[in-house]
Amino acid sequence: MKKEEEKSFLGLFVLLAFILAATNVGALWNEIVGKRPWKHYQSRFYELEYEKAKKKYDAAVLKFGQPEEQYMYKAVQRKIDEAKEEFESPEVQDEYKKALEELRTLEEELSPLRFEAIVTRNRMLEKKYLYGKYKKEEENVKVEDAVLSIINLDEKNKDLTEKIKYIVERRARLQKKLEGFKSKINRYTKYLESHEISIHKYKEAMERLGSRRPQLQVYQVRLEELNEVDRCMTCHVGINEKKSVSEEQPYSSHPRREVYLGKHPPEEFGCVLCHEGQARATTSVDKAHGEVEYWLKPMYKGKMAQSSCIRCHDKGEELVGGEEIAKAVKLFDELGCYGCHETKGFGRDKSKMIGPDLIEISSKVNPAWLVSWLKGPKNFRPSTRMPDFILEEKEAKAITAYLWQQSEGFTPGEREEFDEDTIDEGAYIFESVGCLACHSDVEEDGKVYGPNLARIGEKVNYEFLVSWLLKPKAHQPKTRMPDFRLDEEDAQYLAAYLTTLKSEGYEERLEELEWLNSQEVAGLGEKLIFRDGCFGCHKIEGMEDKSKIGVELTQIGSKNIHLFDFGLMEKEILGGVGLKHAAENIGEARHAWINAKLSDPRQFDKGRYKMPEDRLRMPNFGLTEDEIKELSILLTGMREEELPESYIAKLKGSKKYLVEGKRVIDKFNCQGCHQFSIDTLTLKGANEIKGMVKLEEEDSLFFQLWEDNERLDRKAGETIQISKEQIKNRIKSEGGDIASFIIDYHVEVEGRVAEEARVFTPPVLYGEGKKVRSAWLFDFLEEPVGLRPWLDVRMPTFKMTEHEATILARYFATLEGERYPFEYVKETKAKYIEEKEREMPGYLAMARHLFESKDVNCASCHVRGDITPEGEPSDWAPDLSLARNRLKADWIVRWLLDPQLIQPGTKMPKFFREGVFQDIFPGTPEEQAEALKDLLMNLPEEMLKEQRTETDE
Amino acid sequence: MSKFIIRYVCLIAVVTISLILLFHNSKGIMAAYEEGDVSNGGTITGTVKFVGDVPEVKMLNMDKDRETCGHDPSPSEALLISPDKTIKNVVVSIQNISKGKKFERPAENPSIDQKGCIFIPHVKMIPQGSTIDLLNSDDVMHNLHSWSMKNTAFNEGVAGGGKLAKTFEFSETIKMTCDVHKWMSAWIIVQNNPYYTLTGENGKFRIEDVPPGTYTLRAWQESLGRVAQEITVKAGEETKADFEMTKKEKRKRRRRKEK
Repeated sequence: MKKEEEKSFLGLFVLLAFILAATNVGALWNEIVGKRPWKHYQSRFYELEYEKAKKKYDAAVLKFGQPEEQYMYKAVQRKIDEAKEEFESPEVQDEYKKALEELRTLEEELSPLRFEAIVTRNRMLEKKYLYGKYKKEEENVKVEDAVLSIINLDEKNKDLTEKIKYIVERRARLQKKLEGFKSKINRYTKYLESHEISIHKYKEAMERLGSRRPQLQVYQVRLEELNEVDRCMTCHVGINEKKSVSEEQPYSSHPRREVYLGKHPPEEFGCVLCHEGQARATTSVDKAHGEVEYWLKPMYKGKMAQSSCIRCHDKGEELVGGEEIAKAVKLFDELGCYGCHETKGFGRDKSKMIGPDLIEISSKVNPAWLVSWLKGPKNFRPSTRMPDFILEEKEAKAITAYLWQQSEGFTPGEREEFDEDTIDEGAYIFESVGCLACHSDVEEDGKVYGPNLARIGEKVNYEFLVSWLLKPKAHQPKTRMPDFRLDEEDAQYLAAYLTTLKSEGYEERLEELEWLNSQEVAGLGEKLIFRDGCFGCHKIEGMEDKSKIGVELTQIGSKNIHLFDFGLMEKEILGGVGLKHAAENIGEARHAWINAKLSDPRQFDKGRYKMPEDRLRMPNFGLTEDEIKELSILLTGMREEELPESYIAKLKGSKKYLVEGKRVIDKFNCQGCHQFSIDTLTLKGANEIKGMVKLEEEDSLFFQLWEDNERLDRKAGETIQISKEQIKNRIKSEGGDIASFIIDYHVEVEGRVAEEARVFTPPVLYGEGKKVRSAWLFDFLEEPVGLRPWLDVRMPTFKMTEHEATILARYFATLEGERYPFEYVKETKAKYIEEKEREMPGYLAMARHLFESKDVNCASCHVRGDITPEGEPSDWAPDLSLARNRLKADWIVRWLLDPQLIQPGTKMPKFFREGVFQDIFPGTPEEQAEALKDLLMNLPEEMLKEQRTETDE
Repeated sequence: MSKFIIRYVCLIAVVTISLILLFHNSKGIMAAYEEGDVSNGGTITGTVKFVGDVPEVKMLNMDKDRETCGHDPSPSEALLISPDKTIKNVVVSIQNISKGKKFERPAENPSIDQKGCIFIPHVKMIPQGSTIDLLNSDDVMHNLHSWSMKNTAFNEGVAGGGKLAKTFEFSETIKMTCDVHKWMSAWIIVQNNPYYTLTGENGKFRIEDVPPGTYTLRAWQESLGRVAQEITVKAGEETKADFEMTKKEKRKRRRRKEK
């Protein structure tokens, strides 16, 4: 054995040294390259940017190199050479130099002259001063002297000015001449430059990108208030570029960049606010996206990012770029999810119900129908919102029995048979009064707004229908079904017609109904109702105060993943989205669960033994794939953490009023009858025209302008033909769904032309805020009255709350930028009329003459107070005594000047053309219309009451 | 240099063509009629007859401005059937003709008058682009309301003794009404070719100087709608084309499930 000091450790040291060196190299490599994948992305981005610029440059060079371009280029070059040659020829040069010489001489002459002029002027000033001084000192001789020199100097000054002017003019001529020698050269050179300019531009851009490329670095945004650092743009360098350098991530710019980033600048919002993920991570893509085990908020991609909209925006707001989530909010509301699941922000409208009250069910429907309905609502009405509780016959009967025994109301009598005429009369009412705005009696139409009525006769009792039609709110206080102010007889006709609406081959089954009165059966029914929570959506006697049976959804987007019960389906469901276990990607797993729940709510029970009362209870809503996708975006977005106040986009001012108004309009389906907007066409060259498509032909359409269009040089009211090629975009008007039925009827049955039939459709509400006064509108909404005697369709009484009527009145005013709620109406003030009378004695009397003159004769068609025109009421025009409180004064003037401009097709003619009625009311059409307006705003009592004629007395 | 000229000429040509197209489109003379001389053209003659039970003549209920309008209820002109079942005032016209005789326009503006609260005549045919004088010979105000789709619609009050001149640039069948007196109606037929006529008292019509060829001949009547037939016209010969028209069954009001 060797002594210690004789041992050699060389081998060991060498080995260790190697290991150390290798470790160092490894660490270094990892530090510089391995942990910084973003470097690769960033440099690739700059490469792409450079490549793109180069491509453009190359294209420009290539274009420049084209024979045609070259030919032209060379031709111009030759022109320049020719011009230069011409310029340099001895004769031209000679002349040029001569002119140049002349110019120089002139310049030489000019400066002493200018100097002299200044001296002269100064001396004159001096003399003028002296004149004053001598005058004061009364040295008369000197005064005279001064006057003399002033006159002399003035003359000299004039002389000099003249000379200078002459020389300046000559100089200008010479300069022009000199330029003329070179003009050709200059012109061609300019032309050449303009051709080369794109090349230069691209070349510059390319060079800039090549040489001055920024150093590779981490880009980060610090979101102070959130205590969040966002480094996403380290890889996504070009996310906010106007033009994408590539379609590929992470190089491309944001889709719909203007909408998303334009309104949420990344410097302020970062990316993480909408997309989540692990924004400060830079060491790997998966980490940065938060797609790693146990990360609580993996990234939202694509439309999923809309989940975040509701973190800051009001759920009711229909956002551009938030289309999916807006649909989901509507759907969530319509399906009444909040009936079973407490959800903050939903169910705030206390005057709205989800499903109908069941208090009077026994007088409303027949029991056999109810049993089959409970077993599968969509079998009876595919468009219903009522979900399928997957009940067995026995269960359905039990629930029916319970509801029956709890129900109050009358017992319906025997079914009645109605004759053909009664049914026809009812059909007539159904079609004319306005039912079709919300309901359809054709099964294929699906749900229009209210329930589809194609099979209503199989369900509802006649007596109940009559009573319902007369006063819907008396039966269902929260129904949206309005009161059409039908009289008893009309309600009977209508109900008779409705009871005949049955499916083909329907036969009423006569069953034994003993179970209906059985206490025992009803007892089971009660239990089932408790289990399924029917009272979440329906009012049931004695169950009004039951609490919701579902879990709260308010924070479902943040709910811990292990609280989602996959049952025995975990592998299958997670496997479907490529996950092995839920923690692998929590977001994805949660999303998968929500999708599975919505598509088949009770599937998690599969394979498990559960007592009936423990089984999952959520019914099947029969949602489409799109609906599920939308709802899962919304649910994912309902989260726990709240953002700081400064991020919250609080609705306020006019925006708030419009959002609120839209909500009420949707609630009552005002669009079912009323058109709210007009057609908009965008023509080539970004010319936007507004109005109405009147007729569509194969390759062109006829369009009536409702607004002047300067670029087409056409006025509002004119109809123009536009070829379809010209049209780049077309936005159809919204609302007025019932119009086509009414037009059809008047064309087919009454034999009118389609345009004429349009008169019988409900009024268009485009521009309504400019027309009616808010206070009147509020009143009218609360208690509508018939305004247009020729209409069969009528504005029903919605019995909306005062708050809702206020919101609507404010909506129309806000939409048109009108004052709300108060406006000053000068026309009704005594001072105003006095002033008018002073300007034009007999003003109102003359206006009245115009009103009554046989060639205007307003009363020939218009009702005024008690006085009605001749002929049938359906030919009368609106009551003029209402104008004062209903209409805005300036609208009346516009209307009188050209009614067709405001409401094309109206029966109201235009009267006031230049030069007419001068013997009655001298003035321009504007003045005549103004006078009539003033009269309408001040209609004297005696014009509204039938005057006793002499024959009466 | 010549290259420049060629380019310039090309540019001018393109601009002119697009301007023409634009003008074309805005004027809507998409399928313009070409006028020329027709020698040895054919003639189309025929009768328009009513088939089925002759409906009762409707009487106009003149319930307004009786001093002017209030003569005895007069018969409606919406459907004029003679005892021999021929129909008067049917518009017979060739639909698809692009070339033919001169399209003569009347020297004076054609006119429709309102007299005794009735439009006279009830049907007026005018060539495309012409101006029609709409008169009011009554002592009451009438309004002239055109229910047109292609031509700019108008609705203007016209004082007694007044006149309104309107030009129609598109070919169209236009209903005119006076809304003050709801029984008043008239039709203006704006034609895009000269081959058109109205049937007379005996339901007969005659269209002359038709270049030989095959055409669609159409008969239109406001209450009966339209009927069309293919006809072949031979040079110098007379072609017979009779029409039979009938009143269509009115749809019942109810929609029910007849979709």
